[in-house]
Amino acid sequence: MALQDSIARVEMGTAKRAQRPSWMRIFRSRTAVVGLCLVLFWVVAALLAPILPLPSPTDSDVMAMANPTPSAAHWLGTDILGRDILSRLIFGARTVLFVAPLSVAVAMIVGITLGMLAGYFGGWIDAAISRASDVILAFPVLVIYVILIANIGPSVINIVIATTIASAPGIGRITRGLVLGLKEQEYIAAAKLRSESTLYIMLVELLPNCRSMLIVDACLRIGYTIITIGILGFLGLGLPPPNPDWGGMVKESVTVLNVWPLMSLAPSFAIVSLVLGFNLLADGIREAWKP
Amino acid sequence: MNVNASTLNEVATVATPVAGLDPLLEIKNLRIEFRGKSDTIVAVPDLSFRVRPGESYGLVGESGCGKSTTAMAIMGYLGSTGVIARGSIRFEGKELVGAGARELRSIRGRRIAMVYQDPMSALNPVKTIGAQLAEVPLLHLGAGRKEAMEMAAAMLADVRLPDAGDMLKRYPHQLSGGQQQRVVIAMALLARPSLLLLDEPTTGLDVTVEAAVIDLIAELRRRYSTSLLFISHNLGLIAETCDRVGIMYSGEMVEEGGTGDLFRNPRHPYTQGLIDCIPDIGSDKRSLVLRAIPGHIPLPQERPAGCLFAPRCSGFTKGLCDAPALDLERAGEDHLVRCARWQVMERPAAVAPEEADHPDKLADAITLREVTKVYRLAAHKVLKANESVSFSARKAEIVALVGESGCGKSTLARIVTGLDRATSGAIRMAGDNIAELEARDRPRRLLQSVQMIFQNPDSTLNPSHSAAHSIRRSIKKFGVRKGKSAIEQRVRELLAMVRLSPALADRKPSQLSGGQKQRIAIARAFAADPSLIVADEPVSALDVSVQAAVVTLLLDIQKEKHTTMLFISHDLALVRHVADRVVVMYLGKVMEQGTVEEVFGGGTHPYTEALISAIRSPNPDETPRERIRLAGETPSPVNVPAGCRFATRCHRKLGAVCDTVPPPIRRMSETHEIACHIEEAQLRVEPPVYAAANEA
Amino acid sequence: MAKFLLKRLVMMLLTMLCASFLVFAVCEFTPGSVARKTLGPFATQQQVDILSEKLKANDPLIVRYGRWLGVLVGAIPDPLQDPATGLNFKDPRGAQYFGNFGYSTLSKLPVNDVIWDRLGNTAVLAGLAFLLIVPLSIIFGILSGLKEGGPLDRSLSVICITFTSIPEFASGVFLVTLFVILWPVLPGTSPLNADGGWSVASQLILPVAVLVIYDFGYVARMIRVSMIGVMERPFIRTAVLKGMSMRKVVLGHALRNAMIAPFTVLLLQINFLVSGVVVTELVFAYPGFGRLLLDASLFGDIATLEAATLVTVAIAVTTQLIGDLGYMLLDPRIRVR
Repeated sequence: MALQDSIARVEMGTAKRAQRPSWMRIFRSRTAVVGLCLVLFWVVAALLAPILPLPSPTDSDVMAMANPTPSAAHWLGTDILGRDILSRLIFGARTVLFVAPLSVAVAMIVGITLGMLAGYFGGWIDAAISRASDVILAFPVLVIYVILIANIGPSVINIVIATTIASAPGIGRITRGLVLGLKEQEYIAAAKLRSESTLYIMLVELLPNCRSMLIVDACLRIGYTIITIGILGFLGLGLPPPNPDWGGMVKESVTVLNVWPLMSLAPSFAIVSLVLGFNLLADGIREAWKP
Repeated sequence: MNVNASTLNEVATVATPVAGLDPLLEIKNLRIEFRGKSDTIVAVPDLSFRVRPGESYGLVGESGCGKSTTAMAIMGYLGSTGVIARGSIRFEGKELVGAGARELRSIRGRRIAMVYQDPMSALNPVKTIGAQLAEVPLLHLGAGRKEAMEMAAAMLADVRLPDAGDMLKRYPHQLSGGQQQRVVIAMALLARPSLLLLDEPTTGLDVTVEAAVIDLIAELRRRYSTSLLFISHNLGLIAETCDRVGIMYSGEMVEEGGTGDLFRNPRHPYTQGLIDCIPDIGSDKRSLVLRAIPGHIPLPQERPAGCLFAPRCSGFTKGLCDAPALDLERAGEDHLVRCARWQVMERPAAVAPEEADHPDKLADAITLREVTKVYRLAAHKVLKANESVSFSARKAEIVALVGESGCGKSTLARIVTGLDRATSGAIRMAGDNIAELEARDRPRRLLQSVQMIFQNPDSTLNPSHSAAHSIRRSIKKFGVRKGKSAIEQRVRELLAMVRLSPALADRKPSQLSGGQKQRIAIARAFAADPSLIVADEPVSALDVSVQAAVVTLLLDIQKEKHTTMLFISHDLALVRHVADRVVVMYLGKVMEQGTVEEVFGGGTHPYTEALISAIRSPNPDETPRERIRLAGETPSPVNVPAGCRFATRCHRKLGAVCDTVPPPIRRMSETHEIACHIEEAQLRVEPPVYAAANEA
Repeated sequence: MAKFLLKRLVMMLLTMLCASFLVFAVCEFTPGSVARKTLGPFATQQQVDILSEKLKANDPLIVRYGRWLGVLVGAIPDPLQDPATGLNFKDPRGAQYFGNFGYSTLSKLPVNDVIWDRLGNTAVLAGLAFLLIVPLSIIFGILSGLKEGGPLDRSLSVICITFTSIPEFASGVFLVTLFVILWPVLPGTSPLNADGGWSVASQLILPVAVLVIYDFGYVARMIRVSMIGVMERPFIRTAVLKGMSMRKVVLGHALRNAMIAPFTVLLLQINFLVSGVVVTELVFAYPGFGRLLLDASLFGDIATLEAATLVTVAIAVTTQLIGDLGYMLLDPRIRVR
C-alpha cells in the first residue's frame, strides 16, 4: 500500500520550488528597496504637500530676502525672491511626479504598439516603422525636446507629446527585438493553430512575456524624463508658473551661486535623489526578476 | 556470432588495461554541494569510481544524476556556488581537491582535456580556428607561433578535416556541426592528455555524423593511448564504445561493471528499467509495450533514505530498501550493485499489448502529391526545402517521417499544419487541398482536424500563463464545449487521459518537468478531437525513461481514438517501434517509403541502410551486420546536387549516372518504393542490416 | 562593399531630407515671422509686410521648403541678399553657392560665419570628453562585469548609477561650488578667451568633467551587461579548461566579444556630446554648438536651426555608419560578402 501511495504521489509530480508572486521578489533586492524608499519619500511628500505646515511656495517673504539663509521660519532658507525653498521643493515634486510618469506611460503605449507591429509582421511594416524611428533617433534626445518645446510652447500636453516623440522609437526598438525572438516560440505556433486572432496573440501571448524588460525600461525612462524636465526648466523652457520648477529654481539662483549656494544646491539634490531612486529601483527590479 | 561483430568488440577494447596498474583517475567518497544564499543542494552525496590507464569508462544517467557535475568537479570548475565538501579526486597520483590555481592550470588542457556537448557554442565565434587551436601548444608545449600553427594543421589532418591550411583561417560559424566537433576534439588532443573527458559529445549531431565522430574518437584513442571518461545518457553509445560503465541515479552510483557483463546481466532495477525503455530493433508496438519507469527522478531535497530508486521500484520491500546507508555490493567479478535485493530481484517480463482490431484497407486520411517548398533567398540563390514529396497516410495509421537535419521533415510538418504554405503541389484531406492554405485562411473545421505536438517542452507552453490555459482556449475556440464548467470538465478529462493530476492545471510551466509539459502539449493537441496529429520529434528532448512513458501514452491515445499520425523523428529505433509506415527523406526528397517491416528489412535504399546501421543498442547481441560509414557531410539545401541527392555520400554509388540523372522510382512491392539507380534485383539481394529486425 | 556604402549614402541623404523637412514643419508653430525678426521689433508693421511680400513668406510650406533647399544646393540665390529688399546683407561668399545656409536673423550674419566656429568649439569639448569617457567606461564596465555581484561590481555599479542620476546642471552646480567657490582653483565660466586671467585650457576642465560624469556611467553599465553576458558563454569555459589564466581569458577571448555591442553605443555618445551639451554650455557660458541651437530655437531663427539640424543629423548618420562598419569588423559572423 505504501508503495502504491508513494508511486501515486510521485506520479502526480511534486512542483519545483513554488514561486512567490513576482512582485514580492522585488523586495529581495536591497538596491530595489533603497530606490523604492527614495521614490516613496517624494511621492508621499508630494501627496501630503497641501496639508503639511509649510509656507506657501509662491509668497515672497520680503524680510527674508536680505538674509535668505536657513532659519526657523524657513528650514532651507529662501530663494532670491524670498520664497521658501523647502516648500517649493515639495510642491515642485507634485508637478514632476505627475508629468514624468504620465509622459512615459503615453510613450510606452505608442512605442510598444509600434514595436509589436514592426516585430510581428515584419516586411514593409517593419521597414517603414524602423526607417521612421531612425530619423527620430538621429536627433540627440535633448535637441528634439528643445526644438519642439521652443516652437510649440511649454505645457503639460506638449511635454507629453515631446516625450512620446523622443522615447517611443527607443521603446519600439526594444519591443521589436523582444517580439522577434518570441514569435518563433512554439506556443505562438500553437495559438495560430487554434485560430487565435493576431490581436489576441500580440496582447495575450506575446506582451506578458515582455513585461519584465519593459517595466525596467519604464523606470529608467521616468528617471530620464525627470532629468529632461529639469533641463527644460533650466533652459527657460519649463512649465509656466505657478508650479515651482526644480530646474527653473536652479536657473534663477545660479547667478548668485558664489554668495548663496544653497539656493541652487537644494533643488539639485532634490532632482538627484529622485532620479537615483528610479534608477536604483530599475536596477533592483532587473536583478530580482532575472530568471 | 558473425565475424564483423567480434572485430568491432576488438576495436573497442584493444587498449584493454592490464589489471594491477595504478588507476589513472581515482575518485573516493566525493561529495559535491551547491551553496546558495539560503540553502545548500547536495548534487552528489557520495561517489567513488576509478579509471585505469588506457581504459574507456562510461558514465551513464539521465538529467540531474550528477554526471556532468562530476566532470566539472574533476576539472575544478564548479562555479562560485559549487563546493567539493568531502572526498578525494586523485589524478596520476596527485590530489586535485584543494589544488592551487597554478597547478590546476598546468593540468587543464595538458593532462586532462575536455570535449563538450555543443561545439558551436564551445568555440569563440570571433577567433579563427587556427588561433584557437594554436593556443594549446603555445600555452602548454612551449611552442613558438609558427610551430604552434604547424602543429594545429597536423592535428586537423589527424581528425580528418580536409584542406587544413584553409580551415585554419576560417571562423567557427562557417563549419558544420560535425566539423566543429572535430575541431574541439583536435583542440583537446593537441597536448596529448592522458585523460579525455567527453560530455555528451555527439548529442545534437546527426546520426550519420555521430557515427563518424565516434569512430574518430576510437581511432585517436588507440593511437595516443588516451583514457576516456565518456559521459552520456545514450546507453547504446556507451555500450559500444566503453570498456566499463557506471550507472548514476540522482547523484549516486547504482551499478558499475564491465560493459558486456553489465548489459547482459543488469542487476539493478533502474538499469534494467533503462534498458527496457529503449525500443529494440526486433520488436514493435504490436509485440511489446515499452516498459516505462513510473514516477520521476527525485530532486536533491526529495531524496529518500536508503535506496534512492525505492519510490519507483516494483520490488520495494519496507525495512530492507529504506534502511539508510545502502552500500555497493559485489555481484560478480568487476560488477558492483547498490541494491538490497539484487539477488532475489526478478526482472519483469516483457508485456505484450492488448490485441488491437486490425482494420485493413481503410481510406486514405491525407495524401501528399508533389509537394514542393522553395525559399528564394536572393537573385540566384534558392533553398530547396522540399521537392516533389509524395506519400499518403491511411486513417488511424502512423506514418513516420525519418531523416537527418536539412531533410525537410520539419518544413513539411509546418506545411501540413498550415504554419507555412507550399510553393506547389497538393495535400488532400477530406476533399480539400490544404497545401497552399495557411492556418489563418483555413476554415475552423479544417484547423480543428489537424493539430500539432511540438518538439521542445520548454517553449511549447507560454511561461506567463497557467499550464492548462492553452487547452482551455483550444476547447473554447473550437466550440467543443461551451460554458466555464463544461470547459473545466473537459480539461479534467484531458488531463486524466494524459495521466496527470488535475492539480497541475493551474501551475505555471516553470513548475513542471519536461515530461509533464509534453503531456500537457499532447492533451492540448487532442482537445479538439483532431483526425490528424503531426508530432514533430515529440520526445527527443526528454529523458530516456520519460520518453518511453510519453510514447506509450501517445500510442494508447492514438489507438483508442483512431487518429492518423505523422510522426517525425530522427530516432530510428523509436520509429521501428511506433510506425506503421515509414518515409525516409534526405535533403528535401523522399528516398524510400514503405511499411515498417519493409523499410527495416532487406532490400532498402542505401541511405536507409546507413541510418539503420547507425542505431546503437545496449543489447550486446543486437549488433548490425556491418557499420556503414558515410563519407562527407550533407550538402547544403542551397546547393543541392544534380541527379541523386544522396550521390555525394553513397557507399553503393554506381557511377556518373548517380551524379547527373535523378533516380527512377523502383517499385519493390505495392507499398514499397525506392528512388535509386540500382536495379530492383540488385536491391533485393541485400540482407537486412539487423538480422533480428523483423523477428516480431 | 561599394554597393553597401552607396546604399547607406543614399539613406543618409534621405534621412537628412526628412529631418530638415520635419524641423521646417515644426517651426511653423513659432510666433513671429522671418520678416519681423529680420527687421527687429522697432520696425513698423507696414515695413514688415512689404518685406514679407518680397520674401514671398506667405507661400505654402512645401514651396518655401523647396526654396530653402534650392538656396542650399546653390541653385537659387538667397532672397534676403537681393538688393531689391533694401536690406544690406552681404555674404562675402556670394549670394548663390553650394552650402549656402542662408542668413541668421538672430546674429545678423550669414549662417556660415556663425555655425562653424561654434561647432569647432564644441568639437574640442566633445573630443576631450570622449577621450576620457572611452577608457573610463571600458575599465569600469569590464571590471564590474567580470564577477557579477562581487564587491568590485557593487561598488563600481553604485558609482555609475549615482553619476547617471546627476543631470549636467546639478553636477555643474556641485563642481562650481567645490572648485570655484569653496576652493577657488578653477574658473567658473569658460568664454574661451584669456581675458579673465584664466588660461583657455583651465577653462575646459570643469565643462569636460561635467560631461564625463554624466555620460560615462551609462556606457559603463552597457559594457557591464555585455561583459556579464559574455562571461557566461560556454567558450569562456572552453578557454579556462584549456588551462588559460583568467587574465589571458579576459584579454584574449572575452574582451572582443564583450565590446561588439557597446561599440555602437560608444559611438552614439558622439552625437550626444556634439549637440546635447547645451546645458553644460549654458552653465559655463561656453560658446558652443548646443547654445547656438538653443538660441536659434528660442528666437525662431529658422536658417540657423535648419543648418544646425542638418549638421547634427549628418554627424548622427555618419557615426551610425562607422558603427555598423566597425561592427562588421569586430564580428565575423555578419560580414557583408
